[in-house]
Amino acid sequence: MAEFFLQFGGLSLAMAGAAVAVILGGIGSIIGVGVTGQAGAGVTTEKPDAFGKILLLEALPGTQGIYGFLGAFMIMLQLGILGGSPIQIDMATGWAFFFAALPVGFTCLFSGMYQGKVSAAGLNIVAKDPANAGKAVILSAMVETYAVLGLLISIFLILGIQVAAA
Amino acid sequence: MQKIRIYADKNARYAITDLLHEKGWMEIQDISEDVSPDIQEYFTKEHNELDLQVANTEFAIRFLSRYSTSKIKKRKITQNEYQKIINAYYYKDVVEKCLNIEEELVKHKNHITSLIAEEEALKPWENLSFSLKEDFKTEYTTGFVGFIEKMNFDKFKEEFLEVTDLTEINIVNTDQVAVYFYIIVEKSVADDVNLVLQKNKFTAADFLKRRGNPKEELDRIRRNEIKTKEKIDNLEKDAKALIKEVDNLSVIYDHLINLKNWKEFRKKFLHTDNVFAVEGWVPKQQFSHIEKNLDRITKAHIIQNIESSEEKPPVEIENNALFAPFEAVTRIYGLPLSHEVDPTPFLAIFFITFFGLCLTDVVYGILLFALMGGALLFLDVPSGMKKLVRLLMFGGVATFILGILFGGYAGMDAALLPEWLTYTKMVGGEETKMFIGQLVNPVKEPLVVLGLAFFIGYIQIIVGKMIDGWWKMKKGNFWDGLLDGWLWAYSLITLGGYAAVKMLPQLAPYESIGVYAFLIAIVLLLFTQGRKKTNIFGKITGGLLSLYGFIGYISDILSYSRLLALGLATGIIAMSVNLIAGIIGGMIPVVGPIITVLILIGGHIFNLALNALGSFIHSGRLQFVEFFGKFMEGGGTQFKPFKKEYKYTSIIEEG
Repeated sequence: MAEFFLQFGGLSLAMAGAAVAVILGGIGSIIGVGVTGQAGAGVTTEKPDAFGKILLLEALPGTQGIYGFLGAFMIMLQLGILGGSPIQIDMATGWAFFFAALPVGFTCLFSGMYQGKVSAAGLNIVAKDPANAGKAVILSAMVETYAVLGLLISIFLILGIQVAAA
Repeated sequence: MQKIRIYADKNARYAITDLLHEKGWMEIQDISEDVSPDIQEYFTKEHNELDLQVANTEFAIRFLSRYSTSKIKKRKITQNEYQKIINAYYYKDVVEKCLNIEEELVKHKNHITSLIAEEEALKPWENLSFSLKEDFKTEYTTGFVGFIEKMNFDKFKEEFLEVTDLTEINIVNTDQVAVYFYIIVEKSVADDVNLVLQKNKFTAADFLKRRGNPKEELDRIRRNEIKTKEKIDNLEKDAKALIKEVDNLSVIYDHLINLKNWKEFRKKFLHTDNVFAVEGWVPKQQFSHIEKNLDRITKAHIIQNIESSEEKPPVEIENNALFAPFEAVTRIYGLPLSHEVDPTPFLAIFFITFFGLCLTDVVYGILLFALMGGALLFLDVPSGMKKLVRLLMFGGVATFILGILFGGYAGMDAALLPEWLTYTKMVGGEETKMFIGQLVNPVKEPLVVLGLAFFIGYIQIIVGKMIDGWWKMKKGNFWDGLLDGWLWAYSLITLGGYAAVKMLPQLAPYESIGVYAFLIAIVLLLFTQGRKKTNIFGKITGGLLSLYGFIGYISDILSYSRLLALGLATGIIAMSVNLIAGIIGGMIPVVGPIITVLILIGGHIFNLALNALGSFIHSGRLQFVEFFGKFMEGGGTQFKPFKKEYKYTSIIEEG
C-alpha cells in the first residue's frame, strides 16, 4: 500500500485533493440544481411570470460547485500547476493538501444536496405568492452556511501549507 | 396606526369616499350590515359587469400590443387629460373591434391548420390520376387505397402474392417512411387480402370530402390557403390600425380598476337613515389632515377612536431617502409588529458594509454602481424594484471603498503593476506588493480580515441589545429594557474587555479593571435573569441558565466569518478568470487576444453576478438571524390603504 502511494508521489496526492474538492462540490451542486430545476419547471408552467425568481432559487445550490472549484484552484495555485511547472512535493505535503481539500469537498457535497431540497420546497412559496420569494431564498441560504465554513477552513488549511520541492 | 370610525351626514358619503380614495389614508374594515337580497343582487350584477369590462379592456391592450413594435410604457398624463379621456372616449367600440378581430383570426388560423393537415395527407397521392371518390367497387371487384410502412412492405408483397396473383400492387409514391399504393382485387379474395393488409399494419387513405383527383384537390387547397392568409393579413392590418388606441385604453383600464375599488369600498359602510359610518386603520400622523378635510366637505361628522387590544394593527414602515432602499432588506424578512421598532435604519450601515466586504473590488464596485444607475436612468424599472436597485447602487459604492482598502482590482496582482501604483509591505516576513491605498491583503493575511469580521459582528450584536433596551424603555418597560437589553450589552462589552486584557500584553496594567467589570456583569446576570420565575428555585436556575446566553452570542459572532469566506471567494474567482483567460488566449493563434478579452468580460460579469447574489443573501441573513432576533420578533401585516392605483398611467402635474 505504502509503495503504491510512493510510486505516485506527493504531487499526485495533492492533485487528488484538488480533484476531490471539485468533484464532491460539483456533485452536490448537480444534485441540488437538478432537484430544484425539476420542481422549477413544474412551477414555471403555472407561473411563467415568476421565472426570474424560480431561476434564482435554482441557482442557489449552484454555489457549492464553485466553492469546490475554488478549493481546487487554490491547491493548483500553491503547486504552480497553472504556471506549467508543478512543484514536486514530498508525500507528507501531498497528504496535507489532500486532507485540506476534504472540508470543502464534503460540506459542499451534502449542503448542495440539501440546499437543493430546501430550494425545491421553497418553490411552493413562490408558486403561492412570488412576492415572498425572498423568504424562500433565505431559508435555502441557511443550508449554504456550512459549505461557506467548509470553504473557509479549506482555504486556511491550503494557505497554511509550506510548499517546498521534495 | 389607530382604528377610527367616521360618522357623517349620509349625503356626504360619496364625497368622503372620493377624499379617502384620493389620499390613501385608510385601510377599511367591513362594518356593513347584511343587505336585502335585492341590493345584494344589484351589487353582484354591478361587480360582474365591471369585472367583464376590466377583463375586456385588458384583453384589448394586450391584444393590440402584440402588434406593436414598442413595449407599453407608463403613459404620463395630466389629471385634465385623464378626465377628458374617461368622459369622451368610446372605449367599448374599440374593445369590441378587438374582440371581433381576434375571433376571426382564430377562426382563420384554425382553418389554415386543418388545410395544412389535409395537404400533408394528400401530398403522397399527387401522382394518382383518378378521382378519390372512386371506390373501385364494381360487381366483381373491390379496391384498397392506403399505405404501409416501408419495413413491412416486402413482407406484405410476398404474402399478398400468395393470396392472389391475378392483380398487381399499383405503387403511387414512396417516401422515407411508407409506400403508398392501391390494389383492385376480385371480391372473392377481398377478405383474405384485407387480412394480409391488417397484418402488415395497412392504413387506409381517407379523403372523405374530396371529389377530384389529388392534383386538382391539392391546387384547390393551396388556393384556399393563400386566400385565408390574405384574410389574416387584412385582419392584422386592421389590428395594427388600432394600435394608437392603446394609449387611451390604458387610461380607461386604470379608471375601471379604480372605479371597481371605489364601488367595493362603499359596500363596507354602515348605514342608518341619515347617517353613514366608515371604519378602518389610519396612520396617527394623518389625524389632523383627515379632520381638516372632512370639515371642508361637511360639518356634520364625528371621528371616534376605536380601542381594541385583540386585533393586530397593520404596519407601515417609512424611512427617509437615504434609508428607504434598505426597506427592501427588511421586507424580505417581513415587517415588525406594530409595537416593535422598524429595524431598517439600524441595519443599513451594517448591511452595506457586509455587502461591500463580501465583494471588496474596486472594478466590481464601479460596474455595479454604473449598471444599477444606468437601469434607474434609462430603463423603466417597476416601482417595486426601485428600492432594491438603489440599494445595489449603494452596495456598489461600499464595494468600491472596501475594494481600495483590501486591494481588490478584478483579481489583478499588485506585483504586475507599474512601480508608482504600488508600495511594498512586510507581511509575515515576506515582502509583498500592495496597491496604493490598500491596507490589507486578504489572501496573505486572512486572519486580519477574519478578526475584522468577528469584530463587526460583535459590534452589531451589542447594538442589537442596545436597541432592545432603548426601545423597551421608550415603550415604558423600564426594568425589562434595563435588564434584558442594557445589561446584556454591558455584559458583552465587558466580555470583550476581559478577552482584550487577557490577550493583549499592552493592556496588562488594566487587567484587574477588565476582570472585575466582567465579574460584575456575571453577578448581575445571575441575580436578575431569573426574575420572571415564580419560585426561588426557578429564579436561581433562571440566572444560571442565562449565562448559557454567552454561548449563543459567541456562536452568532462566529457566523460572521462568512464575510471573509465570501470576500476571498470573489477575489480568487476573479484571479482564476484572469489566469484562464490568459492561458486559453495564449493557446490560440492570431485571434488569441480577442478570446482573452471575451473570457475576461464574460468571466468577470459572471463572477460579479454570482457574488453580488451571494453577498446580498448572506448580508441579509446576518441581519435576519443574528441581528433581528436581539430586539424584534416580526410578523406584522402590511398596511394596505384604499387608494388610487395606476398600472398603465402616471398622473403628472399640469404645466
